[in-house]
Amino acid sequence: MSDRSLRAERERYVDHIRKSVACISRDVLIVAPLDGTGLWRVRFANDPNRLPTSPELIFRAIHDFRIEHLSQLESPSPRSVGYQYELRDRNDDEVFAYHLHPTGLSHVTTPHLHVTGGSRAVRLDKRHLVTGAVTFPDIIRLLITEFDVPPLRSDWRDILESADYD
Amino acid sequence: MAITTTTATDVQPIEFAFEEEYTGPLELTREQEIAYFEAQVMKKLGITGTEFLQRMDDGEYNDVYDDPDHRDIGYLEMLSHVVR
Repeated sequence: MSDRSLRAERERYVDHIRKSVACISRDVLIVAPLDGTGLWRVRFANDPNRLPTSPELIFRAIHDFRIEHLSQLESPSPRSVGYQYELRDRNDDEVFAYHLHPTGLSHVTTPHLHVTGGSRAVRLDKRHLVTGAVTFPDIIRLLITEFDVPPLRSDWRDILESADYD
Repeated sequence: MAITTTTATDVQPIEFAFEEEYTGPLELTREQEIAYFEAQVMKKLGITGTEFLQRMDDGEYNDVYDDPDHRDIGYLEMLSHVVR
């Protein structure tokens, strides 16, 4: 597998993320290598990041990935290595936090969700509610459809559908 | 445990303004991403990246890592992957 094909796949993947993000944010998207082994990061340039059409919401997104080539018969494809997608309200209270951190301080190394709420006896914000892996397009769609973030583009559905990748 | 970090004191973080028209992703070098990590640690905690890594290795953040009021710790921990 040539470096050129890995680079092309990475650029294609990042472009899908860029188009998804542009549905709700005008912040610059940053792409950076983390090491010499093909690990890359995508994040917003600004943190915290207020959404232009919902300035009362604070959105944080950071996503590490690598482009893998699993076999000679298959094309290279992206694999999520870790992410944080977090939403906070105008009072800086957390609404949700989708996490994947296979390494780090937490004992939970699989995809999970923290959500504010629960019962009087059981708080949920420190619980790790199991999820599948979520993607940038998943979260952008969630913000638009469930949290009423007005999209910046009228064709957001088509963009997110074409960006479903992982 | 020894901490192995790459310092980038000579690389200044880039400040970005919000754009009216979004054009495309900006690709940084690893050194610029390290500079961003250092700047964010200083901004959010008032300490250096090296000190943050030392405190993390010492277990200082173990009890707050999953606390919703301390999500910055998790963010900085993830940013730190660029240096180790």
